[in-house]
Amino acid sequence: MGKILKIISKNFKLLFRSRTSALIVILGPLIIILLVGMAFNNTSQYNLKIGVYSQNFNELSNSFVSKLSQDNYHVTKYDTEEICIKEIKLGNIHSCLIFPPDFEIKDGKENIIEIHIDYSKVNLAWMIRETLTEQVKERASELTLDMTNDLVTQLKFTEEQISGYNSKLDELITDKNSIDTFKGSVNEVLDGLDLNFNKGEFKVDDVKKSSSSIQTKIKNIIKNINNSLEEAEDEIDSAISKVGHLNINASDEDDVTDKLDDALDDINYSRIKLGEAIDSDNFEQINTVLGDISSKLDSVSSKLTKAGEGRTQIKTKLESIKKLVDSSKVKISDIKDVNSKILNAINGIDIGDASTIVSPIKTDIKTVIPEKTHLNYMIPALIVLIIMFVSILLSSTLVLMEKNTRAFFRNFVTPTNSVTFVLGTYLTALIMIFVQTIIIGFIYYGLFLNEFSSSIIIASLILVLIISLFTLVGMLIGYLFNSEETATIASICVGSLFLFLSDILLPLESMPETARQFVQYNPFLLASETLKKILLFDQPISTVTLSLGYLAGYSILLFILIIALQSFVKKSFLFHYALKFMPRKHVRDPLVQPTKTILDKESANPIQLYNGKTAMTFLGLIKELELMSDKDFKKHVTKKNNDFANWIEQELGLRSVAIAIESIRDRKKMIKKLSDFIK
Amino acid sequence: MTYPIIKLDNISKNFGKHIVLDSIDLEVIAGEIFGIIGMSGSGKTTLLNTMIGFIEPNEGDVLFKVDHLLEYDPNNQFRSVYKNLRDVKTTFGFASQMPSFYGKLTCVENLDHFGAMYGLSKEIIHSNTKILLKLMNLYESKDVLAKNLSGGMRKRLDIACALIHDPKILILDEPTGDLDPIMRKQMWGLIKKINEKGTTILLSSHFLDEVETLCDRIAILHTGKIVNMGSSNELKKLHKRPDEIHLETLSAKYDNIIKKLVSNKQVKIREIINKGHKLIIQTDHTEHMLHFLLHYIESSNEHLLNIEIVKPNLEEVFEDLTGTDILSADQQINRAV
Repeated sequence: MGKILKIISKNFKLLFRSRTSALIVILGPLIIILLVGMAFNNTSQYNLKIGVYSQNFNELSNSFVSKLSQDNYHVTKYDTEEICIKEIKLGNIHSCLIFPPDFEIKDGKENIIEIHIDYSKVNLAWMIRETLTEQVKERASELTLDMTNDLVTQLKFTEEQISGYNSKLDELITDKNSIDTFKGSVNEVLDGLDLNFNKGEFKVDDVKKSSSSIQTKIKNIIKNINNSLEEAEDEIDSAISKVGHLNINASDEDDVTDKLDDALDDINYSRIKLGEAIDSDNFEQINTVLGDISSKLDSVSSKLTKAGEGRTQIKTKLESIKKLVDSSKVKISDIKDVNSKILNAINGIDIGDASTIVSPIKTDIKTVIPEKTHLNYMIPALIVLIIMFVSILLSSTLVLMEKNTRAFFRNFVTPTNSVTFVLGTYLTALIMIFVQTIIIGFIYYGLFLNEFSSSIIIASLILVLIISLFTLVGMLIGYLFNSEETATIASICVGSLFLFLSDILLPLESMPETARQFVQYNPFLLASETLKKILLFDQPISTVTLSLGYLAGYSILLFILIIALQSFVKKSFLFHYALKFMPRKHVRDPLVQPTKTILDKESANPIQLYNGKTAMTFLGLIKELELMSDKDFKKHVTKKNNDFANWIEQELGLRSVAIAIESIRDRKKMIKKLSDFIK
Repeated sequence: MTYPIIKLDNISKNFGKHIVLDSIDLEVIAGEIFGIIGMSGSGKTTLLNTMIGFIEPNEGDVLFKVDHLLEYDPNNQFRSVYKNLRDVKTTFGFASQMPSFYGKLTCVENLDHFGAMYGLSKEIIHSNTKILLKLMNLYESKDVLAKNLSGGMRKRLDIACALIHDPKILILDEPTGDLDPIMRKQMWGLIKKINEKGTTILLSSHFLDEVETLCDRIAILHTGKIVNMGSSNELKKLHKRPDEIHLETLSAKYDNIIKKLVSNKQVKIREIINKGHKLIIQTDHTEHMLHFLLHYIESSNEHLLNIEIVKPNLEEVFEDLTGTDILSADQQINRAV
């Protein structure tokens, strides 16, 4: 135990004396925590900026805009859809809502609101989608409620109407009985009608015959008269002609002639009248009248016949009507029954409240723990995230600090076993990070949230396990790699891999099932979930035993691996340590310090310098170095190459001198070092 | 009483096709400073790492025996390093070529940490830290971050860390590899001091003067094999070249001296080299030759500037034993690779 404490003490001293490492490892996480704490210690609605576009904003689309504005979203209207979407790409807004043209609620009209989201903002995109969909749904529900209210009102009205019409249906049934009675009365009336008609009783044909005989007789009489009048005329004419022969004065004659002419005229007139009498339609008219009478009698007879038929038909119809009325009565009864059923159905609807019908089940999302700030939810994952990176980086740094120190060899020489060194490094990192975690916890809970979790003790124990796991991961990396740069890159890669394969950046549900099967065993995921259950939800430790089992299993496995690797590293180190002093090709090494003879010895291959000069001896080289510019010197001595060391070793065979100046990159220092050998 | 505490029994190690250690047998005596010298790539570090169990050989075994382990092993038998790694870690201290400590911890904190890693009590750590800081001349800088120490101080702190658990055996791999000559000398003194406190020291180096100065015994490692082993003098005796007398006079006219030497049949001369300003005389009878020269200079009124005896050094021994000079040794390595 004393050895372990000594190693821990030594590690702390080394760590704190490496000011840069100490600053990064100790202050880095605390600064991150403070910044993150201050940044997310609020309850704002994420300050979402929403763009909206509609061809023509109407009452409906404006109601959506108002809804969003009321919920503290920054809503901006855009003139075109393209501008709205472009603004997302430019990062000026988070999302764009495009309302359909003629956005209104109509029967059969489908209204689709397009929500444009920038999915490159991975988690935010999901949140925006969820939030906006919810907002639209809320407004849509309000509209549905209005429409359902209408429906319910109409239904109530229908109920009232049906109730009213039922009494009228009863009246219809009563009326049907009256119709029966009326029908009996009509039948009686119809039956009482005498529609018998005998045309012969009017003897129209006899009248016709008599009329014809009379006409014939009249015509004969008129004919005879006419004949007599013709004779009379003839006589008058004869008389007139004879008047001239009468010796009578002319006046008399004229008088007589006139009188005869008058008589002739009268006869002619009479004849005309007789002719008219004979030629007129009087007789025809009589016949026509008689014909008409006969026809009308026939018509009357026919009508009466038809009336009889009509009566029969009426009676038949009445019978049909009766049947129809009977049928109607049945139907009315059926309608009444249906109405009763409808009424019963309407009355049977227990819920008449539109809001209840629209949203019979409402969701009231409540946080499983009282919400404080966004930070509240982030704490477990943030703590594990910081622990992960700091543990991996710190422990890998500690291991490499140890591996790269010259004391690494001396530690091997001591009778302290590998496990002690591993434990020492592990406990150093554990203590350091645990203290940091306590400070982080204090900052979060004390400074930002102003309260402490009740599960702080259990959480602390779990934190120890989590820190252990990631510390061991870092130590493994430290033992696997030989340079701090490589180990740091490897640490960041491993940490990032754990992070990306968790649900911090992307929901696990977005991964394929097969991948999820593996990812669920991600130590970072297990750790953050475990800590969340304990810190956020105050769950008993029994709920996280399986996860803790995995974490402990990983830790044990890593510890075994590290011990095996430490053993391998030790053997490898000693092997390379021995090899380091093996002979190298083209190495010449005199058994003595550079003597005067060697210093003066001329090389067969003088060193050609960039300033155009050459040096053939050790002393000559020093002289040339003194005259050489620093610029030319740097051409010979680069990060990867030292021409002077190479020449001294290969051409003069002064290996120890070459080793001594191999790492010198300053001209004056090199001159001084070389001059020291002459002294 | 001298007794071995480490035994290497026919150790062979290869990395792939490359044989790094080839059938090595050696013993390290308790309380000595044992040096392993060889060119870079000769297998020194691999040998040291094999000795403390970091690398297991393909063949052979490394055995160790330390007094304080008697209570566990009544028969005081040698124990295999590879089967008793925990005991090896408490018995051995190791300082590699590169300082191994935490740059961002102070000297005290580093010692405190490694002491704890060795399972020492607070009191012992405190006491050892104080002693080591003073021993390593780091007490004034005890609260300075290790990364801010100078190169020599870093090396000393590294050795202090290797000594915090008071090991019986200290292994130093190229302890002065990247130090300047002054610091190297300081380090030598420090190693001597540690050894004087009873710690057996094994060190590897490619500085011949270092092992010659510090080590009681030296093993020459060449292409994975121990080509010879012994004290510095024992090794030098193996060298063919006789002693050299280097003479410098004010006139720098050596023709007369050369004539005299050639005509003198009493003193055996192997070779005379006239360098112009200096005369070098190789002889098997150094003392006689010295007398002769001093007498001649005195009688001929020459002004003596310098006269010195140059014995064969380890560099020459190494060249002799490996059968090649330095540069050709490098070529040898290249061929081996």
